[in-house]
Amino acid sequence: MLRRALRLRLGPCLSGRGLGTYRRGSTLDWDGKVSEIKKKIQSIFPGGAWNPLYDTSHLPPERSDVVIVGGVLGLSVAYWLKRLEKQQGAIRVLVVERDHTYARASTVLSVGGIRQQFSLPQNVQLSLFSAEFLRNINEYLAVVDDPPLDLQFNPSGYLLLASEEGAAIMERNVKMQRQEGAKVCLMSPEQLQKKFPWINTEGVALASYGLENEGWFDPWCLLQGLRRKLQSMGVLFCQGEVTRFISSSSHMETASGEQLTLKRIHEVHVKMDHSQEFQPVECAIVVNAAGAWSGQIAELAGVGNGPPGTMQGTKLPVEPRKRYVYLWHCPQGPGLEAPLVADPSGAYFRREGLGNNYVGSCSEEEPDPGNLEVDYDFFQEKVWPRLAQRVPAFETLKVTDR
Amino acid sequence: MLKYIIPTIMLMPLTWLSKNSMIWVNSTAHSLLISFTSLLLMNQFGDNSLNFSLVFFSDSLSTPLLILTMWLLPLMLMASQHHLSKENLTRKKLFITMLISLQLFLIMTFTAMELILFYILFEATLVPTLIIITRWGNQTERLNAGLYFLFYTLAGSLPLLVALIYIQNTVGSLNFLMLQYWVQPVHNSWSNVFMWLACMMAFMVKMPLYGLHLWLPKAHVEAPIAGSMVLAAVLLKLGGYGMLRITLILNPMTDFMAYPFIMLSLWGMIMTSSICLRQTDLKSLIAYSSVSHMALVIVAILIQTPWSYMGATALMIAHGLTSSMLFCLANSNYERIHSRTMILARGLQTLLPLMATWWLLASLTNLALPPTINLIGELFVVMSTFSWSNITIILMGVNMVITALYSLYMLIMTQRGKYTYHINNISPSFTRENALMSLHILPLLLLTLNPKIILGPLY
Repeated sequence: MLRRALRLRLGPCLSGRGLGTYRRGSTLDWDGKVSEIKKKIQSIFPGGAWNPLYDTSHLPPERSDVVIVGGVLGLSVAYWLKRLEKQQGAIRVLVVERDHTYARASTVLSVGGIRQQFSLPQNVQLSLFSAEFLRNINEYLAVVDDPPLDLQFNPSGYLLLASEEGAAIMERNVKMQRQEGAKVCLMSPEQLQKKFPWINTEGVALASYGLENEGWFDPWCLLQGLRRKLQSMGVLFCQGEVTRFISSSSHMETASGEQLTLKRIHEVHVKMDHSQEFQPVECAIVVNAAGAWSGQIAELAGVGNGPPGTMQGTKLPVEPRKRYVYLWHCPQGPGLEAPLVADPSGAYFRREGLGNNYVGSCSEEEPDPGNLEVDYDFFQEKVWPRLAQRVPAFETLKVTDR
Repeated sequence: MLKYIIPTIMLMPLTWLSKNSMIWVNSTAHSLLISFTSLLLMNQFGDNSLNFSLVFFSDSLSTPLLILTMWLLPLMLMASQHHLSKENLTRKKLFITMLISLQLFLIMTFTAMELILFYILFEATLVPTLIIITRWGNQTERLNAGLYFLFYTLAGSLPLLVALIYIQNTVGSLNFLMLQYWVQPVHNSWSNVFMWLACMMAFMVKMPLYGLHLWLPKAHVEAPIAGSMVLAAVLLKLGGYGMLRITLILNPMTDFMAYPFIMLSLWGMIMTSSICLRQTDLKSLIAYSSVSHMALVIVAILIQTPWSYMGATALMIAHGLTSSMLFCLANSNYERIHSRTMILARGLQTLLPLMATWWLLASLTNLALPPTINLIGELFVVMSTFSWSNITIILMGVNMVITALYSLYMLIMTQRGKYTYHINNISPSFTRENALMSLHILPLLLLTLNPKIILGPLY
């Protein structure tokens, strides 16, 4: 009865009061409006970023000292820049990344291996340093209050097989690698058969096996670790695409009297996803670490505009290449000690996890790098026969979805 | 006095009605001519001031500041040419108009005969400066900087208005000529304490005093080059000039009221000098060095001895020219590299040797090398504070050492060493820039030969 009286008395005001479940304010979105007003007031106070007209938190800052375009290498450059600056906050670094989720980046789609068995001494040196970095990653990339990184570094080594033609080159390379300090050993087919009984050593003249600092790890973990650390060091991240470089050029004369036009980039236009909005970022240095797409970025900067055949006319010789990588399951496959085996025919594979799964492919074909579709027929025709020839146990494998 | 004000006002139609290609040439040339006429003010009578009318006058305190102000306008115009070259024509003319109106207000401020007129123009100078900082500054933080600048100064100076009106009501007139004779000793009472504070705080904020200096690094760093130049060279000196004028009527309270501010300034000058050693941003370093030099001026004005007054005025002029020159040099760096971080542009001596000469001269005058007027100012202040209290000489000595440290640090960081690889294609110095630097340093060096004109009324 009391309720009936209440309803009678407060009938007209009920709708405004919101008694019960009737809410008239939902279409007006009061909560959203109040929080927006609060944000605006907060931005007016000293210390907040001032954007009275609209929210610009997704845009990069208007100025930055170094703009890095890129993936994991870009993050690494940013890390070392920040690590080596004399005082904290001396250099302002902005990392521009087209895809925040890194779904199409080379890093996360890669096999994730690290090896020292290169033919250039500089590569070997870099790789040795990277191995040391990865081993001590929790000292390099430590962030307060965050869990340590687990890279799942499997130091199983690389096993490169060489046929008769390539044996001499391999021997030379191994000598160079040993000089640089990598621990690599050469094995004859008999030693190979004894160590890895599951390998079919037909056609193999020489094999080089990395004993230390080689193997594979989880590249996604490295990426996230770098991002986390960089955010804690004060690097600004921005999701966007670099569309333009504004540069200023000046005419100079070299010592030999040749007239040159020297260009200097001083502004980068970063375009936001799914919109025409772009932000010009004034900068002093631009680092192009875009990996497979660095050729496109270089073209934006004007590298390669000139008569062909001259230095001005040479584009940056980086083009994206697509490779397929397959994951399969084989219960009778090689065991835990299997390294990443690379066949002279171009096929390679490695163990993935502890459930008899393997990851591998063949590095010869060059499919169209336009999309990231995987062609399973390629596996049937090209990769599987080579794998089966090298490791007889792989005749009974089954491809899982990748 | 009208012979300066009317031409300055007429510079504005000159800008708006000039041909497009001639706006810079016209305004720079004519403002240079006006600055030469300001030298006529030097012809002062004995101990009286040069009175033009009941409204305007100039004495040997305001004369050097006035000459500095008028000298600075052509320099500001020269410095702004590059970064405004991409703006559209109306914006350029607006910018020049802002500079000219700022100049106008400053001329009238330095020659105002009456304190209320001085106050009105003191506040009026804020408006063009704010517009210059917020509209033509470089980064998003400039809005924050403008806010800090505006509200710090306003909050400090509103009590000054109240105090001035009170004094006008009690004493009868705020005209300088009459104020000198009608001033009565201010006795110690609470209301007088607040009146003293009200009078002084505006100028303390402007100087700036160490505890109230937060607006200065922001405003100096975010302002465009002309804004930085006029801020460092002239607007800071407005505070000093105001303090020198207003202490006339505040005796003898200043003797004990000044203690906390003297302490703050003595401590602050060492603190801000030390901060300079840790700066990574070039303009920020120069801004903090301004705070440090001005702290010396505050100490000098507050201890109120003849020598300290002479040191204060000399230091104001010297610092004005030096700071302005340093900002111009930093700007020439910025225009090439598009970044103010010091470590990104090193070893410039190998690439731009003539500019390195200007850097050297500016750094040497900044660290008060004898026989420049910087040293004369600092020396007078050091000597008078020593006689005021013996211990201050330790603080002053430490400050001079640290000043030398950061000036040389700035010089060596930007000029010496191997140049960073990415600046090998910067354009060489323009004649305009060299002219700008030489026009800054030439008066400074010439004044070394005849410093008595900047030593103020107590010489």
